Amino acid sequence: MLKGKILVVGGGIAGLTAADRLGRAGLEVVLVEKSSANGGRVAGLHRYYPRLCPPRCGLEILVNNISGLSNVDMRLQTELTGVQKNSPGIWTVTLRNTKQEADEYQLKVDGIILATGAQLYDASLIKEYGYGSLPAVITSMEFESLFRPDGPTGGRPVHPVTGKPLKRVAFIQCAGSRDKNHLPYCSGYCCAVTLKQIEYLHQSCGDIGTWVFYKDIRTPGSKEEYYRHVREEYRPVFIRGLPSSVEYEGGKLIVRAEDTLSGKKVKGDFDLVVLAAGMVPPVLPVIDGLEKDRYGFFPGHTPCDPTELRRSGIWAAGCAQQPMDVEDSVRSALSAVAQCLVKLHQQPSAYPEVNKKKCDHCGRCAKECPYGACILGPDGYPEVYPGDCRSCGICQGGCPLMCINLPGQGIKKIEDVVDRVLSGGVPQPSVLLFLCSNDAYPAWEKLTGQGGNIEGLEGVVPIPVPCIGSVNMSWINEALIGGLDGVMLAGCHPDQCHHGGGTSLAGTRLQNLRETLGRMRIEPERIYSTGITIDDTERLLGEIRRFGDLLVKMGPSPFK
Amino acid sequence: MNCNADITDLRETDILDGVTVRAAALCEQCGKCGAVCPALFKKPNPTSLIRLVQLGRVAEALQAPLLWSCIGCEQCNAVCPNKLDAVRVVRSLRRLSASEKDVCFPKYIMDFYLGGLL
Ligand code: SF4
Ligand code: SF4
Ligand code: SF4
Ligand code: SF4
Ligand code: SF4
Repeated sequence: MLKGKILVVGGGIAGLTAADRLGRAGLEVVLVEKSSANGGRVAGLHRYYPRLCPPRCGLEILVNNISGLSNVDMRLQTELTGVQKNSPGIWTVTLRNTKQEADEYQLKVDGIILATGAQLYDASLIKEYGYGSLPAVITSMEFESLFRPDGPTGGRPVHPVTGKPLKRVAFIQCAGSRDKNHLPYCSGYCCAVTLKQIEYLHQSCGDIGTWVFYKDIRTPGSKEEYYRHVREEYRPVFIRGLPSSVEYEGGKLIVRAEDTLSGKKVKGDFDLVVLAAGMVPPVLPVIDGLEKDRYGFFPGHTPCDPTELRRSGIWAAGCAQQPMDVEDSVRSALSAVAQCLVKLHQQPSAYPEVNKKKCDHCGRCAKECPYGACILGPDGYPEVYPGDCRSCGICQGGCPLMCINLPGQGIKKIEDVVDRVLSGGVPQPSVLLFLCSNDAYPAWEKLTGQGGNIEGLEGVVPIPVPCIGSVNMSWINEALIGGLDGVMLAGCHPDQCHHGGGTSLAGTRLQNLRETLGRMRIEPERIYSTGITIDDTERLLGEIRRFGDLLVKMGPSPFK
Repeated sequence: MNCNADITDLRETDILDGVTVRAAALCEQCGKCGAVCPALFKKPNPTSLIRLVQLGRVAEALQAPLLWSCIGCEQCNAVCPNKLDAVRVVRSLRRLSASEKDVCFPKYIMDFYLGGLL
């Protein structure tokens, strides 16, 4: 049986799905939900698309399953207020009872799934649509409530103010989304939501007309078929153009727009205007080192591993990842669960060891580790939790005293090359070539065949490294002072680094090193770094040749 | 602001038959039929003609020269990604126009057909 305790934050569809599966896998689960009820936004929906089934069905199954699992502890009105890592592999989380302000306590867990969902964009910020000031301008979420027995109209889809039957309803897409004045991104779910709402309206109101103001209809995959079905079945009128204004005149909402398909300005009067509002990221306590995207979501390392965040042991699920619909939220929760189980199960890969005799507790390794796998323990020395470590070696690259190293890596290798150079065993120009084993090294192997080298440049000594950020500057220093003619680093492009910041860290460190070398009268041009992708073989060859030519022109190392 | 048109839809005018209206409703205005149609005297082409129908502007659609210049080649139907019957829209409008008192038969089309005879 698997062991481990996982905190799931958020009791919406993603959080419930995650808690259910982790619980069934035998883990201890604490599921916290800020509000007084589970279900999140899904609990407020009338129907799901495309099959128009009621959300309560799936929700009830989940909640029943969970209540039958003694290892899942569901805590409502409980909010996450803090996350810290004080010992390797263990998160200390602070939870607060939202009923009693003072009731705060801590738990230790092995992993955290952030399934906090997202918030709806505040539609009143889109001034021209009049939300909040005009009657009967509502959001798509409020539209759902018109169909719910506990909603403002008792479940009858009628005018929310007058109670009269609806005759003409307009939907305005991208309300807040895809707009640099509001949310620059596409919220992804709202096109299909409008189609679904058109379907409810026509099914329950009979004689009704629907209009959609849009700029693109985005219904990827099988949702395109749903879009076609709604067009053919209910014949909503699609006006390609977002309205310039919504006004209230004589009991009607007047919407004006330009139909860019016919090039004509159009004007229509409606009983109800529904804004397909976008989603904004969740509000969360600050978690040290957990990177968000520029909007505040946690999309992970896309596309290769969307579940991977820059803190091992934390996963995002559902709309915390990025705006998405229910289907994608469930899928995202299941992938977070899968990764969580893998992490608890897997054999740890190679991880660095610390030479405590040399370490002076500067803490740089812990600060620069992209996954939070390395932390300073109670004795002040760094400790690496094998299960969290991704063997990137970035800690080893940054240590000023070279006392944290992955197995088989370290200064020893460099010293060997220096010895060979000194004994005349390496032809000129002698170059130490560090290659990232993800991209540049495979490119090199394609170029030279295994163990081969480049004709005319036999003095190039390749050294594969897990990430270019794992190259310690002292190695380069040692090599150049030891008489090598040049050092070349071939890593990934900064925005493509598999470990996030490896390439840019190496860039900063190199800059500092060049300055130091300048003071020692070593030409900074003897160090060259470049970005290489796996299929860049020809360019790699060109870059090496150019660097070799430069070194020949510069003459042998002054230290030789 | 000046508006060229108020928004109605065909449910309100309801003068074309259901099959035609459903076909028009499926059109996404991709423009393929307009691009392929050889009968272009001037706009509206099949794409923009269908747009007029979608917007309920049937009166305008009835003025379209395409109603008479369409040669029935069916290339529009052949390329449509929604497999809709674009010629049917043209034909229904033509029938509707013919059943009205003032058939809108553009002079230059008359000239084209009768040119050789006169
Ligand atoms: S899903 Fe549709 S409505 Fe929503 S932001 Fe994207 S394009 Fe706009
Ligand atoms: S090897 Fe990478 S993941 Fe592992 S402790 Fe060092 S920096 Fe962190
Ligand atoms: S960077 Fe090196 S010296 Fe500094 S704490 Fe880590 S292992 Fe010790
Ligand atoms: S059938 Fe008529 S409308 Fe269609 S492409 Fe041919 S000429 Fe044009
Ligand atoms: S090809 Fe079909 S979908 Fe495209 S514009 Fe013509 S009728 Fe519409």
